[in-house]
Amino acid sequence: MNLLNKIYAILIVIVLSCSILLVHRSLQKIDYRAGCFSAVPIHVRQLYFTDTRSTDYGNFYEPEPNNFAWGEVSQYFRNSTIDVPDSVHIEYFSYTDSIFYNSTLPLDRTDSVWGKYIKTTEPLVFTMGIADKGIIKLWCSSPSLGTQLILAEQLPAVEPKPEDLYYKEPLSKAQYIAEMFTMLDDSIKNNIRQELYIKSYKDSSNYQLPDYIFP
Amino acid sequence: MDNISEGNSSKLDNAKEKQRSIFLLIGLYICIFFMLALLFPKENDMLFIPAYYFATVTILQLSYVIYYKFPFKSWPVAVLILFVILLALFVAFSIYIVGLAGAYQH
Repeated sequence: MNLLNKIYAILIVIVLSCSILLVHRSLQKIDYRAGCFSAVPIHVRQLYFTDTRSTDYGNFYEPEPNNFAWGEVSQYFRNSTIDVPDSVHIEYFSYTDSIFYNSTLPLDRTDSVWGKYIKTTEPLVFTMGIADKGIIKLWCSSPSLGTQLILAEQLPAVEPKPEDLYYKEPLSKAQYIAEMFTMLDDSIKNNIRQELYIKSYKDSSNYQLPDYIFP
Repeated sequence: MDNISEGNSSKLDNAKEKQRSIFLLIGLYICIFFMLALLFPKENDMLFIPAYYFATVTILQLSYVIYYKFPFKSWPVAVLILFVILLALFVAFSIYIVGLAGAYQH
């Protein structure tokens, strides 16, 4: 065998080994859906799952500021062939109190409830609920384990950074808030003024997954 | 007589090596395609598979042409030219479609 053929043979071995590794890696990944609802009007800037093993983001369909109701998810985003997430990143602006939230919350793999979902090979469905005062709840569902609350946190309010205030152009905090309110329906603005959305969901831990997800 | 037979046997060896190279290259081209498909499973990235594939295959074909010093009017060179044309087409298409997607996003 001449030098060129030796190189070709080595390349074949390398490519085959890489392919086997990639197949093994893809078998570790799962298919999951992620949805979100809110109890108050919010403008979500970013909402996604992250994982330390890959650079893939587990996306959500972001909730509409004018269309919100506790327990009502408009759509579930399908994250196919992705690793089980180990944290969730959330950035949003709350209209009710004009406060910004920006946090990355780890999902503890040693947690008894979440640990059970990690071990299953079934498709998972994540549902996030966002309520007033930075309260967030995350439920996980699978056909055999059902729906359980895996995360309940109250996010601290944060001061927005200049990059958080970019909307078509760099804005000041007051300009950004004014710009956000132009997107809101007048009836919702009126309800905010009358404080009609003030209701605590801190102890709300039940969520019913729509029947069409796991028929 | 010995010189003639030695010359013939080295030609035969060379032909065998060339044939072996062709088989190895075909195997390599197939394996690389499957590896790229595994590497870019997402719909958005699939666009780049043909561009990466033809770039790799063009380099491999070029190594074969250079190593055995093929004349311009030979089938390995024709295959190489074909790969270069396909690579250029897919790179141009990728640039066009990425630009188009960017324009729609903003």
